Amino acid sequence: MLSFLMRRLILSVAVVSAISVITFVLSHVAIDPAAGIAGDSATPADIALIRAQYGFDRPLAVQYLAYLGQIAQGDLGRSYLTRQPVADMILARAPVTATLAGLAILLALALAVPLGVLAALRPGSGVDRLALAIAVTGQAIPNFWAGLLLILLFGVTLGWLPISGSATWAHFVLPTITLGTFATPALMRLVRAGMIEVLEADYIRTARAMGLRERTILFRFALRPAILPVISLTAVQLGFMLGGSVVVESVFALQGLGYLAWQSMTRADMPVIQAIVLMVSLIYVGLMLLADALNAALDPRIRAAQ
Amino acid sequence: MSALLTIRGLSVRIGEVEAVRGIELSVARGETLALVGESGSGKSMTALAAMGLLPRGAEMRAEALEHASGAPPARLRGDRVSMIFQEPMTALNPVFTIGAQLAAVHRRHRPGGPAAARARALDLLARVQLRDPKGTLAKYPHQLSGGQRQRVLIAMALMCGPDLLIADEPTTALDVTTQAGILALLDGLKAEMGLGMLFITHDLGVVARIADRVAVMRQGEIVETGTAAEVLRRPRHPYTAGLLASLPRPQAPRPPRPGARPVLEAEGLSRTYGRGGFFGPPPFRALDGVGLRLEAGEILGVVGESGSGKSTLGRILVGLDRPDGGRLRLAGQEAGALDRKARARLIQPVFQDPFGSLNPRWTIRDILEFPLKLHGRLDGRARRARVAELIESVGLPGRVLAALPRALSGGQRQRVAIARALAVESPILMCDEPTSALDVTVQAQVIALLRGLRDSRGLSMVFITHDLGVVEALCDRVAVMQAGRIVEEGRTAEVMSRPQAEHTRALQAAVLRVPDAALSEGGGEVVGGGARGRAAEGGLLPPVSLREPPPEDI
Amino acid sequence: MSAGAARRGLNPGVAIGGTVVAVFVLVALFAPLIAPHDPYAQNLMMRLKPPFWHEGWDPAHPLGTDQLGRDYLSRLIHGARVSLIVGFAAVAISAVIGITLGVIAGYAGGWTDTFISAVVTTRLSLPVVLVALAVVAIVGGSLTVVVLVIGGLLWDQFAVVARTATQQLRNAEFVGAARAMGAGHVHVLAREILPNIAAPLIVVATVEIANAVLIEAALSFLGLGVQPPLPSWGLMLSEARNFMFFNAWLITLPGLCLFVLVLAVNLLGDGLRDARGARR
Repeated sequence: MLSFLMRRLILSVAVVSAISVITFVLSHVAIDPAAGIAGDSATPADIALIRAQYGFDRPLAVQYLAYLGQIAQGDLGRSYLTRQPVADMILARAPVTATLAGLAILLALALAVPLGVLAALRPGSGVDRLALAIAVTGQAIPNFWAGLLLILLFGVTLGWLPISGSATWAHFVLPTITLGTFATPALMRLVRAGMIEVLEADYIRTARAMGLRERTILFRFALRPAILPVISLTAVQLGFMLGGSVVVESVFALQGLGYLAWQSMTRADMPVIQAIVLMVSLIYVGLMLLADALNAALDPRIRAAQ
Repeated sequence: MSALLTIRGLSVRIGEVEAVRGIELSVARGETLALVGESGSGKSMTALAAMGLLPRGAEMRAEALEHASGAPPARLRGDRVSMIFQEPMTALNPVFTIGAQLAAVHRRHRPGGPAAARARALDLLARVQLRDPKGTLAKYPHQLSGGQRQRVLIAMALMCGPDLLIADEPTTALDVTTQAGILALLDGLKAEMGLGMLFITHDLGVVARIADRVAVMRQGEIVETGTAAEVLRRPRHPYTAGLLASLPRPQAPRPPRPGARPVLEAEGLSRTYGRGGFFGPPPFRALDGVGLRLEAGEILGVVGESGSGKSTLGRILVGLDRPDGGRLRLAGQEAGALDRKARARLIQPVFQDPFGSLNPRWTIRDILEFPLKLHGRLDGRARRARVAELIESVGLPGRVLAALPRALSGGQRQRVAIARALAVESPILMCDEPTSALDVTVQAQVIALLRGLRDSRGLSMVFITHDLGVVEALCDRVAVMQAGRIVEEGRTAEVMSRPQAEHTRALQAAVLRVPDAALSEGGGEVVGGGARGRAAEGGLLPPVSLREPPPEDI
Repeated sequence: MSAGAARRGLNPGVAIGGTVVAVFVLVALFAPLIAPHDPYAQNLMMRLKPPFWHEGWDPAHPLGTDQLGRDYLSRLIHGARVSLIVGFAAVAISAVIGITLGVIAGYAGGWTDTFISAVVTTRLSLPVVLVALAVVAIVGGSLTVVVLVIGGLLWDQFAVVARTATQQLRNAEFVGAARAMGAGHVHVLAREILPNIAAPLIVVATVEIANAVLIEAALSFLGLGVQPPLPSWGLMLSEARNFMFFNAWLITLPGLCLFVLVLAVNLLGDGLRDARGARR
């Protein structure tokens, strides 16, 4: 297991390096960082001055290493617009996004796992077909449309819930439902598929042949092997949520990272954009590594390998 | 005393197909009833139906289906009636320890807590002759070999002291030596515990070894029953007689032709997989200094169990893998110096799996024309004529040319694979277990075909197999492999009758022989006389493989 | 439904999904002929006319008009073009990238495979929407940019599926037979492997078409996709936000179009997957 984890760790480091190159390119190569800092009303002379001042005229490789150094120290640059340190901006908004993503994934799991297991117990039955219909329909609804419709229904027509801002818990209800139900269909189908595969496995047939009760088989002997892939999936979906929160936060004006990202993009505030992309990717990589570690810990085949 | 298991009028229907049709059988206390049949005969379905384990979509009807206690066997699963299956590699839950899985069975049916279950488990693990019962309890299935897993499964089946054991091809997926061990174990346990056994198999050798009574199934019906001695020696139904007649019989040894030049020579071939170190699996020595010689017009058998390296050797011979060391000469030329096409013109493969050796999206005609296009200077018309010749030379009708592989049976696909190999007109064929996945009747036909090709065209063949019976029927010389080395080599009759190496002797001892009924009927190519050596039991036949092809969606 | 029909691939998913998608394609192809009005023609006197199920609707505009007086029905019809162009073009690009990478990785194995797998993992670690937004923010939004960006990001599933399928086939015996016959790598890849991995890749393609449509809609909704006055359904939703409280149809209709198209594509994909499973 150790060698397996070591290999994944090395791969993760390579991936993170590649991502840092991508974000570096985004922020220092694709646009002119000097112009961004100087602002709209700057003259070419001002821009040249800033370029020299910040060292944007050094070779790219040197700039990249400086960039890495800065990140390692937690310095993510300063916003072009507000001049605030990006790291502070991110820290301020991160809790909102984390809350949203966390609640959404819990909702998705709460819906997907029972539904998926129920559907897998009797494939082709009414329950199964209903679950699949819900999944297929759910996957086709654009999440921003769903958000708007929810706003119309619950926020305006019925007036039950607030529709904008992130002040209270109530403000999180509609966004959580929007984001959570968007992730549910894929998760449910994977739980269902995994469960069906396990229930048709030879070792479950052995358990039946030995006369074990169906309930024992399901909850003890089938669930454990089936749950392993769900864990990796949940980690991946959580990562999705962080990325996909852009849309939902924008619709509901939740003051989270996604909303910040969008605001920065419309205003071409590059330091913020690349910092958010970098952070989200890092979290993603970390989540995948965590999922691998969990898998390794729970699956004896990986644990005891060599 | 009522029979342990009584079945009357059992039928199983899956969709539109009647897999089992109104069969009747019974198993008495202390007796082993073997249910024998080829693929598709319905024998497994019968067992699954008896246990109430039919797959979804299958329906069953029965006039009588009961255990001696009066209850249907399905209600006594794991308790008075137990079942073991064919694939030990997948039959145990990968994420639970052996101990946990065994204990679960005991706790379900018997009083007493974990301690009682553990004690019983240890007792049984010792009885199935596992070396370290206590250590095994804490292990996970992937840490055990196939044979060990099957022993664990037998222990699991016996946890609650059943009186009837149903075994569905429990040794088919195991090596011959492992199989012998498991059969001896089952025989012993049966006597010790007074079990009745319903033993399902396709292998008449197994039947001869352990069955008291036999029922022969064909296409869902039982065509013959009787004691083992009766059915094997004096079959009454033509189908049974046909099965027995299809068993490979040793061929007449052909005199070695003096001065024949070797058409294939190999020395010191080695192949190691894996780099070891931190990043990979530990290195595995598949071949270790293997040398071979193949004369023109002869068939050389290469025998070994799984992991002996015989398949690696086959792949190296046809150029699909490169040896790390050693030399190979084909028709006098260094194999390493040949380009791919030149080598292809010297040696062609015929593989085992009839379901994977033909591209599923090409028609048979395309499959046979491709080698002609690749190598020949024939124009379109000449190619079509040649393809027609090829298909005829393997005994298939011309109308298969327009078909796709999935429309053909396993035996037909193998013939096409042989025809494809012949298309290149190479003097050497490398056959890697070409008949192992075929029913015995079909196997007999393919063996006859290969023999005919050797005799009529002087083809030389390297024939890789695990089946000693086929070796005796087809191969002029034989080499025995173990753990990547050749441990013995010589003319077939010699090696079979006077094995020198210990491994060869172990293989021979594990071979299951069927009493030769057909001698008196004069069927097949039976060699008369004492050249076979083991004449003590009145002319025993070599064993048999009625192998089932991989199950298709029924 | 009989097993025979399932084997021929005519299950309800393929039938219904395929038909609806075909309808959308036809609508998109013949949009200028079908649409009653010019989707760009503004008429400020006819702003925000309701559709036919409200009072006060105008027969010339059965589905109403938007805030600039443009006919909604015509804009919806032309919107199909945008969605389908993005869907098919972006997926075509990503299919080429992904399948090439996946087949090479699966066939060559060794360090090539390790390297390509690292590339795929890197791509999987990037938040697609964020990166797409960032690129568009830098380069500016347009239909072409959207197609290229989405095409350049959505290739991961193609690569993963192609790689796994190729690995399985690489060891298949008919591939070995072809190599032993003297066939070269090019032949093996083109005639033996590719035709046999097409089936799962087609299923991936349908999933990615749905994704591409949704991502374009999201990008346009956020203002960083297709630019006005192009009639993208996502853009129409965004433009309608300010007016939606009293003119709910402005958001119901484009969203419904997206929903139906994506649903149909998903049904088609599921149907194809089932048909393959039944044939096995």
